[in-house]
Parts: sequence; C-alpha cells; structure tokens
Amino acid sequence: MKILIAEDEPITLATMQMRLKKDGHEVSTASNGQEASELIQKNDFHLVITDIMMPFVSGLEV
Amino acid sequence: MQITIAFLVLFKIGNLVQPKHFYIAVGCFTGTILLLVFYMVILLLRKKYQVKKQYFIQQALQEWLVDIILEEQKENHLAFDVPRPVSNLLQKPFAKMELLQELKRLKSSLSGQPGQNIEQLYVQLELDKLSVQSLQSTIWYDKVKGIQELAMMNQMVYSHDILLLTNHPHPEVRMEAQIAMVCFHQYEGLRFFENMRYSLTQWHQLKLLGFLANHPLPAEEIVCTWLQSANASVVQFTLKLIGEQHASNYQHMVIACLGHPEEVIRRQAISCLGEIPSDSSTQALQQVFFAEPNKYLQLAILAEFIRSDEKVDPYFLKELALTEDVDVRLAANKVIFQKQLQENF
Repeated sequence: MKILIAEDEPITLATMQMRLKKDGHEVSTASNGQEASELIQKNDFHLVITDIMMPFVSGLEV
Repeated sequence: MQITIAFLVLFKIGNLVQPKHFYIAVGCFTGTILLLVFYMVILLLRKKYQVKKQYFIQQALQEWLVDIILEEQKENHLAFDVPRPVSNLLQKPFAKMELLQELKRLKSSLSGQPGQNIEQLYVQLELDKLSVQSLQSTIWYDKVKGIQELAMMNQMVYSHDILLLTNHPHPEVRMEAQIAMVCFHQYEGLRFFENMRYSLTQWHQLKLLGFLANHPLPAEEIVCTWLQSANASVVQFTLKLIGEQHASNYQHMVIACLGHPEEVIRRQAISCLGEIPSDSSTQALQQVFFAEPNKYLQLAILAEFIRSDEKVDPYFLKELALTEDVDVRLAANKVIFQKQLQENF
C-alpha cells in the first residue's frame, strides 16, 4: 500500500514511518500541510494519515 | 521636514547649554544606544545557539526514542538500553531538560504501549526527580510545571505531595494539583473537596468535567456529601456532573437544591433538572417559580420548559401570560406556543 504521513512532530513521524514500513508498506512523509498537498498532487496514494494542526496548511485543508 | 525640525531643536539646545555639556550628553546617548544594540545582538546570538543546540540534541535522540516507542512490552519490566553516546549526552543538564520536553510532547500524543514505554523511560532516567525539584520550587509556574509533568507521566507515588497543593493560595497551582489528582484517581481524587478552602472557577469545573466525562458517577452517599458541601462551587460542580451524566436517580437531591440560599446553586439546579427532565422535576420547577426572588432565575425556569418535552400545567402558564412583567409574559407565551406545537405533533 502507498501511504503518505503528514506530521510536524519529527519523532512521531519517524515512529509511524518505521512501524508502517515494518508491515511492508511504501511510506512517504511530509512535515507540513503544504508539502503534503504537493505530494498528493504528484502521487497516487492509497491512504493519507495526517495530523490536523500543522504549519502553513492544516491537515483538514490537506 | 522632520529632520529639519530635529536639527533646529538640537541647534536650540546647543545654544542654551555649554558646548562641553552638549557633547557629553550626545556621547552618553550614543553610548547607551550602542550598548542596547550590543545587548540585543548578544541575546539573539544566544537564542540562535540554543535553537541549534536543541536541534542537535533532538537529532541525537530521535532514532533511539523511535526504537523505544516501538518496543513491545518488556518482560519483567527490563530497563531500556541507553547507548553510550546518548548516556554521555544526558550527563549535560540542558540535554536532560530537552529530553524531558520531548517525552512530554510525545506522551501527549501517544497512548497504549508506546505511552507506557515513555513513562518507563521517564522513571528509568530519573527525570521524575527534575519534576519533583520543580514541584518543590517556590516559584508558582515551576510548581505548575512539576505537577503537570508528574500527572502526565502518571507518577501516582507523588499523589500525596500533590494533594497538599490542592489548597495552595495560588489559583494556578491548586488548579493543576486538583486536575492531577483527578488524572490519577478519577472520582476518588476529588477527596480534596472535603477540605477545600477556595472556590472552583468555572474554567476549572469544565476541565474537571472533561476528565471525568467517561467515568460513571461514584456511590450515592459521596455525591450526597458533595451536594451538602459548605463550598458553593462544590455543589455547583456536582450539579453540573449530574446534568452531564444525565443521572436521573439524583433528581430528588437536585430538587432539594432549588431552595438553596445561594443563587448560583439554584441556577445550576434549574439547568440540571433540564438535563434530567421528568414530571416531578417540571412540577418542582412550577412550585418554586413564585417563591424564586430573582426574575432571571424565573426566566431560566421558563427557558427549561421550552427545552423540555414534559407537559406544563396550562393554568400556571395562563397565569404567567397575564403578569405585569413584560419579560415573564413573553417567556410564558413562548412556552405556551412551544407546548401547543408539541401537542400538534
């Protein structure tokens, strides 16, 4: 599964990334809402896991 | 224009005072400005250095913390491995403080096994001692910080020390201490109600209600004791709790509060009965209506009648619709209209 994680807290982001990779998923990461929006436009993700409160663009806007 | 005026002012001053004094004053002024600029540059550089140091520590700890968070439940609660570079780094007080901040940030967004791992690491690295130091500080915001850290990390061993702070003269300290007690022991933590010297603020009551929202009410005798408390804010909080949990079995106790001498309690009792509507509560509200000296509380009773689906005595409403007070008359007519609508449906 192609998954995008958008999270501004680096350790939480790394934890989720490692956990999902361990389960065999292809994981991309974004550290803010703007970066997440750009990645969504360029890629076809099956699932997006996003934090709500993030810099620049919020998770809800993403 | 402004430059010209400034020049003229300086020229005038120059004419009034001796040149020697004038140059000394200009020198002092320039010196002060330079000193201020220098101080600001030092502050900015120091801040930049701290941010850099913080970033470096975060980078150094990140991988290790991720491993700890993902660690499965340890048998016999074995200690987590601390690599030598990390343990060397943690010898420095700044790094230890930074780790504590990081653990707090993580704990607020993690639960279950990862959350427990963070708590275990907090104890293993003796970070609780830092929190206790803050707790024992004489500065109120340090005390608050210490309480928050211990409560967040579920350190119930310190609950006795925290209980003593529930009557602290500083409102923020006692509020955090009371919240911590509820975090640790839920309703049992509210035992500070027995000796409470200060009132609970509205904000504080809401915070406590938020923590207790998913826990069923305690035994009836405990609730009864709270409702008979000499502290009006405790009674008000209990009424809010009963209303929030729609605990209709306490209806008779709430009705008894309608005759309380404190206005704030009568108001809360009216609102609480609106949350646990029944025939008997509507009748009780009707009975106290004319005895209620405060017009706004009478209007609150009528507002509860509009909200509720229970039937209200039509003679009572007709009598109100003929009173001289315009507000009461209007509210009574609204109730009549609402009840007619309900009957038609």
